[in-house]
Amino acid sequence: MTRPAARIALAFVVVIALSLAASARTQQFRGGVDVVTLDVSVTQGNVPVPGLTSKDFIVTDNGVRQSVDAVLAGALPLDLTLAVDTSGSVEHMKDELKRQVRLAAGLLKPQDRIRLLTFSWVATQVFDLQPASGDLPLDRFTAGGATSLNDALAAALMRIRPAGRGELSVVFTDGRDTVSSMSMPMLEELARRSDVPLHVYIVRTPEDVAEDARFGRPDLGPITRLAESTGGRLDSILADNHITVALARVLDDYRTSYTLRFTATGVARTGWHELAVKLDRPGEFVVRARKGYFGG
Amino acid sequence: MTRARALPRIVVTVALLVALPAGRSAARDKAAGPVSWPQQDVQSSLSVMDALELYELGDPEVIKLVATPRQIGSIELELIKGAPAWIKANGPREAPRRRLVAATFAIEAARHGLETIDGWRSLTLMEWASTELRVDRTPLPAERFWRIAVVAMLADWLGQFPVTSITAGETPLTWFEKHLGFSEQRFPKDPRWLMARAFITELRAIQSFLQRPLLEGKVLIPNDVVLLYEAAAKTPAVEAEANIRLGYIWLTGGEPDRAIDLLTRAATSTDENDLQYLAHLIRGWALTRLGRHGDAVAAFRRAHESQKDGQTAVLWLANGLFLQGQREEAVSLIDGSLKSATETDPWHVYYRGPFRLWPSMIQQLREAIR
Repeated sequence: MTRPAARIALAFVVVIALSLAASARTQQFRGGVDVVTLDVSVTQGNVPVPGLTSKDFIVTDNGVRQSVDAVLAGALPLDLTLAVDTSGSVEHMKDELKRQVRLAAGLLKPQDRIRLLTFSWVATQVFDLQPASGDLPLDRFTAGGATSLNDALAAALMRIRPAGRGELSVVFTDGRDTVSSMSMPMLEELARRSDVPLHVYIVRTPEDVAEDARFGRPDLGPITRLAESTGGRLDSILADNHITVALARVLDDYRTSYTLRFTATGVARTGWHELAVKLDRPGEFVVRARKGYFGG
Repeated sequence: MTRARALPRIVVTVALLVALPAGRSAARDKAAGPVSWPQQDVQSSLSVMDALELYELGDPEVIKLVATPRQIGSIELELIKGAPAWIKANGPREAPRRRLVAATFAIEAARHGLETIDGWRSLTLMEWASTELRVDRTPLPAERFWRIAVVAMLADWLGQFPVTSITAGETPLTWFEKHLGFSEQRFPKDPRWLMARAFITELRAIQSFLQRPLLEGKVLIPNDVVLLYEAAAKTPAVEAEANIRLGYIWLTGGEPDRAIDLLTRAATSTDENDLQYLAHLIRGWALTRLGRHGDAVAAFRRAHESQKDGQTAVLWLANGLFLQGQREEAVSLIDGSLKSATETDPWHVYYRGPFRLWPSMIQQLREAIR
């Protein structure tokens, strides 16, 4: 290669590298200390609102408006924790649940990662975060015993969200805790400090539904408020392909939501920070996000 | 048990049967005859008396072969029919030990039976074994293990099911009382019987350990239970355990300060890991209730150090750290516990009281009867 040709080639490589770096930067956030991340779902008449940018969001931290960066959550790689109730009541469904986990993993993108927890007497990690496309090692998936739902929820909430990635926890349970030591007030405290949106699906069999009709539904108020305080939600689902169906819903919702980030300014660093998120455009919108965070 | 899991057991069983001394057992005759044995359902071809013979030779797993597929009642019937001759077969000097072998075999089988619909038959099987043991006026020292093991097994059953479970005319509770009476006669002044009485009174008073308020609210303090545990706490052998149970009662009764005193005393008066774990764990809850979060984290850490497998302590330790902003350590602890989770958390058997002693008692019995 002649010297001018080599220079042209080198310049070409540099231009390509710079443009790739610039492209990558568009998917990233401004750096800074005490960076707050929150996922925000915006719907209008139950339909996700597309095309929103940073300018469309009004975010206040303890009443002080913040300057935010926003990206579509679906643009970030996702770390998903599935937590499945495997107490005695679902022992007979063990193989079916494994099948559903495999199918559910197929809903993720190549850059996403999945981790599986099960809970009965204890909470167990069946496999750690790994690409969903690989073989899922389900050997540790066992079923039987009591239900430590609250303890499992605590374990799912204690996460540190990595920078530049999205994070979700989705829990499947019949909603009947039998052995946890963690109380709901403790979980609420924990949720206020967690930056993981928690979605809970109450799995009901037709027999459960009939029982509910006769005896009334169990009180799901506390666990609903817990999920909502993290920016997640609680829903009920019939036990039939429920992991796959529910996860498809959660992912649809997540991928059309927005991840907002800001460096808190004009507020005390420590203590509880009340967050409020609104849209700076006319119309009736339903905005769902976590209610606040602990700073410092 | 699946066929695949049964196969290694079959090999061991056949090997042991072949190894039996000539003429010693009918089991060997049966085994030596049909060579097609492993191709049959070994569970149905092994008689209870064969199993007892193998059990004596040191194969405790043989219990599963006879206890699982059979109604527990048929084990009792075969023992009633065959055991007296088997006990006497090696002469009067060997008879007390063989009685204990048969009685231990019976309670191991009964424990499997408790998990079936015929659970009440396990009680009559235990009663048969207890009657057999009382033939010898002076008990072998190892009989004490047998008596504590029965207390443990019944506590397990009573802890899991309502005390009002009705069996054939008797409740497990009345049998428990009866068993304690015999135990007191055979081993007078053993503090385990007082602890057992205290536990059963606690169970009646509390009904559900898991719905007791740990951090907020309070329930009535059962005074009769307190008096029994206070009496037990005067004996060093059970002092720590009695104080732990008292500490829990005072905590859920809304008196965490009193609980902390007892639990601190308990933690310093035992070197048993499971008891240390429980003392520090419950002390951590009492400290949390008082808003002493730093001290609570230290207590949960001590609990975790006492018993690394206990997920409850890890959870509370991580929770305390997470709330204090030490998120990295909290997440690391939780991740470690999730990865190595086992079902050996002493808190999970707390509501079954003396049941925690079952594994060690059975182990000591198995060693003593060989």
